[in-house]
Amino acid sequence: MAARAHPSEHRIQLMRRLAWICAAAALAAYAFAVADSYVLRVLTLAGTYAILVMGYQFVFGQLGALSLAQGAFFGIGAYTAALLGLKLGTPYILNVAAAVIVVVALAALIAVPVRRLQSHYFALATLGIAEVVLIGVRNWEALTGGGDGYAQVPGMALFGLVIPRGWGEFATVWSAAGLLAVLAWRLQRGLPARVHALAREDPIAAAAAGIDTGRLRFNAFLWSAAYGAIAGALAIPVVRVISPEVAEFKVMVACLAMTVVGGRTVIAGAFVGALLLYPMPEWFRFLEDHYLIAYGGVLLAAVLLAPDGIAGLAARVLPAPRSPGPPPAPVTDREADASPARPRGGAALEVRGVAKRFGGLTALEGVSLRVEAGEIVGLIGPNGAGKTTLANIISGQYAADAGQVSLGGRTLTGLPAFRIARAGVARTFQTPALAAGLSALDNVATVCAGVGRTDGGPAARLRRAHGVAAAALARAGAAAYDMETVGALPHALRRRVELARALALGPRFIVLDEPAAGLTADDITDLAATLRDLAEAGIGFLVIDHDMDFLLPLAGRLACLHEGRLIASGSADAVRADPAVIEAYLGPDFAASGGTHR
Amino acid sequence: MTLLAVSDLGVRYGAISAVRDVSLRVDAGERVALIGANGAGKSTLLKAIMGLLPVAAGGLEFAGATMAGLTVERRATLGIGYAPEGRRVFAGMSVRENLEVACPAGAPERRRRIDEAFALFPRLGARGQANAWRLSGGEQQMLAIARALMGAPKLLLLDEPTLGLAAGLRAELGARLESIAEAGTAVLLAEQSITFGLGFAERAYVMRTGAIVKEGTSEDLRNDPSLKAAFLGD
Amino acid sequence: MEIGQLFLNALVLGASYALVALGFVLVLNATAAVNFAHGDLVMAGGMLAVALSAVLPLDTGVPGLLVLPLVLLAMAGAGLLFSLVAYFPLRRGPPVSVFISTIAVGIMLQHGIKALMGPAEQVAPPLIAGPRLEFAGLVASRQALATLVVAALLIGGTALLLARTQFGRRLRASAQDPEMARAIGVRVPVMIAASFALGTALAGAAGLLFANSYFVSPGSGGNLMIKAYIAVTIGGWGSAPGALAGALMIAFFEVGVAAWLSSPVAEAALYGALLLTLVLRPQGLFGEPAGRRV
Repeated sequence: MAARAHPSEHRIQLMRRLAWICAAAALAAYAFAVADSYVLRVLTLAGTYAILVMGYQFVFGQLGALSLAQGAFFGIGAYTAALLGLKLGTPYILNVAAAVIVVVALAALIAVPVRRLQSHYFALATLGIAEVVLIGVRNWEALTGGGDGYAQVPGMALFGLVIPRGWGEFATVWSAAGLLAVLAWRLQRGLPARVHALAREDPIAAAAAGIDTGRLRFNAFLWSAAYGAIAGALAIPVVRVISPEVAEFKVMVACLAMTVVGGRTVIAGAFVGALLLYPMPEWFRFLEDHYLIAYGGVLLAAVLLAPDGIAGLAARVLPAPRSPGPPPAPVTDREADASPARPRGGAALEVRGVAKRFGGLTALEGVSLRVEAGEIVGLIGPNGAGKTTLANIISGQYAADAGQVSLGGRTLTGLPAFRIARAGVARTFQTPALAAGLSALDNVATVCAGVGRTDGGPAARLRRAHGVAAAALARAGAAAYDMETVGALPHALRRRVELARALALGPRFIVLDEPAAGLTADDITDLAATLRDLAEAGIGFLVIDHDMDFLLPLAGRLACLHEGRLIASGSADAVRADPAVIEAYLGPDFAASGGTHR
Repeated sequence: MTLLAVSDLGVRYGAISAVRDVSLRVDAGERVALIGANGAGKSTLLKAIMGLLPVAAGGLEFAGATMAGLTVERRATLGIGYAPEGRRVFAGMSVRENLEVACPAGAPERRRRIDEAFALFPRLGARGQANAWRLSGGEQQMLAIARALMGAPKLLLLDEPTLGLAAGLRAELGARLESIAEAGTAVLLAEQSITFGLGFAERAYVMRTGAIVKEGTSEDLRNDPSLKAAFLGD
Repeated sequence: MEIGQLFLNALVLGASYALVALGFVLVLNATAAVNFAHGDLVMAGGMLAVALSAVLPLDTGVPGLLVLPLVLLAMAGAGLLFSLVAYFPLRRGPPVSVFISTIAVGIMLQHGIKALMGPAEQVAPPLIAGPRLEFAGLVASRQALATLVVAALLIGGTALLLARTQFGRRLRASAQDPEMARAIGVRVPVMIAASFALGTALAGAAGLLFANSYFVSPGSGGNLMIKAYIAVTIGGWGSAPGALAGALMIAFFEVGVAAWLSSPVAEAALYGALLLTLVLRPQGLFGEPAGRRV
């Protein structure tokens, strides 16, 4: 299957840059033409909100984590900058820098305890923090001026030069927005964008690819705080009054609405959302103070009808640059040696006395097993025997209640899943854990995030990652499909892509969970051949499956689990003739009557 | 009279073709077993009959009328009872409440059916007020079956009822199923244990990797030497 | 007797919080969705009581009690409407969409009511009008005692409904295992809608109680939602008795700390306690540390 042709990368990049420049020019022209100081002010503040939303996109857009503290970051940034200017008379740039430092420090402090929290817990924790901030700001009168706040906040100044109201502030804010947009773009493009997509779509798959999603969220949270602080610090000299309003929930609501309406994952969405929604009070002037009703309505309509936002819709319609047009740079032998794709030589996997209980149910008890380097062991057993539970314990999705798992002597029990993946144990899942929206190449390339060489720009890093991915896909027998979107691939190919991702980690041991399920006889033969080759290269395998046609010619040894216990282990023939195994599968009386009836 | 007719059914589980071109039938009052190793597609097939999984190809008919487009709830009220794999009793509710909630009839009829259920499963009667999660595996299995019967179904779908049960309980369960079948309810039993399956059913279908590879009366299948291969390979 | 007075105040506050938390956890159990607008629905109930009292002739000694059934009915309807707009269309999507939709509806409710009735605090008619009662050195308004009784009756009634009726059993089964509930013939979407109706009716009643004891303003909602959330988190996610216990604990904590230090400190300390709970014992005080099955 040939890779689909798409417009050359260069042309698309040019078109996009042109679009940005046109939009910026249009904005400036409009502001100039109208020249109304009120309109200018609205546009300037819209710019600060664009910065706020860009920051929010780090944590909510890229990683899908619903933080509700973004408004609080804006508020604290505003207060820090304003109070320093008012009370200490420090220069404006210092105030902005101080705002960033204070807010990021605060974010780091609260991110540490909440980083492990999932979905609504994370939302709740950040909401609680935002409320505490608001209470503090309202009640710590000596510092913040309480409910009334302070007026006459000093304006912007750069290196001693006072920046004039109206045009000066407009230009400052929008230049800052532009620079911050470029920074955000650089931070996200290339490999990080793929990694984030995977973490967002399937955190378990991300862990299996060796990605530390907790750390990703922590970093994203800090970046969102930094941008939020800058937004607040820029907004306050324009508004000239500092009061608890800047820390109220309505800032968070506006930010959320702009993000959803503009588009969560596309930087342009921040600008679209801010420019559309910030002037909304103007559009709904008849509602006066009640423009927030319209905000709510727009947010609701957006989440119901266009959850990807306007920019998101546009991104889907316009041709998107996939991976860099020309085929990935061939990996030189020296690079291949250093890359994760080359296995580091096999090692034995040892499972000792592993037990796992779920409430009152014992899923595994006293399971011990050893698989040598280059050996293929098949794990069989009736339904509910605990096979997937054992796989999950080995690869770190579950914590064992007792016992130990070690690879080549190194203890793995207790390590988080992503670390076990990095330590040399890879796995595949019953349903292939891949990001359906990414290409096969991108899916596999995520493995290279943060490892190996870090020199060169984002483009070079992506190219190297793609090179590693291409090699892994070739070994897994899926090289021809590297540019295909995984969601469009048939099941058998998805399995191979998942295997490629496992290989790209450079594992010494791979756990396969029902790899033959749903495959045709030909696919099965191919897969078995691939696995045999890999085993010969030194990788050990634990293969869970029911399909005996697949497992018997492949596995050197079989192990049988039944009701959480290992009841037999040995050569395939011995295990299949073992009365305990026959009883487990076929029922007690069958075994008693000596197996096959005549 | 044919109660359940499955024709050329195909069911997908995500991207996997879990059931392929399956045709079978169950007549009123009949006992039919679906035998096969796990992964063979038995559970998927039962779920598709119940409407819990969408059908990719083929047709399902119950009591002569097609089931296409019918919701799960509708199929239950039409007369199909379902005791799923893993029992799935309502853990936070008592034994009695589990039975009550499954009965669509008015209070007096409900009481009558519960009494019948306790007569059929005395163990449950003894633990009527106990919370369902406190029951042992075997008792939960009985509860799941009794619950499926509360709607007075014409067809009972049972998914691996003997899973995790000790031999003694297995025998007891078999006896109970006999009584249920004798009362006239048709039973489609999915089982991994050949002995249990063939011991209970009159007819059976053997499944392997999503397709039916053999069918026949229990007598014939019991004496078929290639049966073991369907589980443990050739 | 100071302590006794505080105890009584905390109890009354706790009773109202308990109603809020119960409504919240009902919807949570039925849908596994956090309703960010729950507090605003409570506020809407209170505002509705205020509006009704302005419109209806309530020259009796029990104006609030007369309005109560109307509020319950109207809010049940509102709950149904709410579920149709903010929940059912997004049921199959990622959970974050429901967070956002409920946030959006909450905003609309809050500011819509502000547009209709003004931003100021308002007072709803008391359940029972009349002079305060004194006993054993404690002073209790009739309203406070009536609040206790009404809350207890509503909570007790809901508990009875859930435990003793077929409808209640079906609600519980749908919440526990929607797929299996369908397989025994329960129309799960109807049960979900009913849960919304019931939860919102309770929220409305809580609003009516609050609106006399404490005033109500369009902005009161956010705070209440967080308290319900905290009660449910502390009590063990999804446990109704846990939510009630959590609500009482919050009330006692608030009244105690406010009396000792100050109200704002009590609020901040509450959030601090929440964060501590989330970090140290995410399953709550009553939840079981169950393993998650993949």
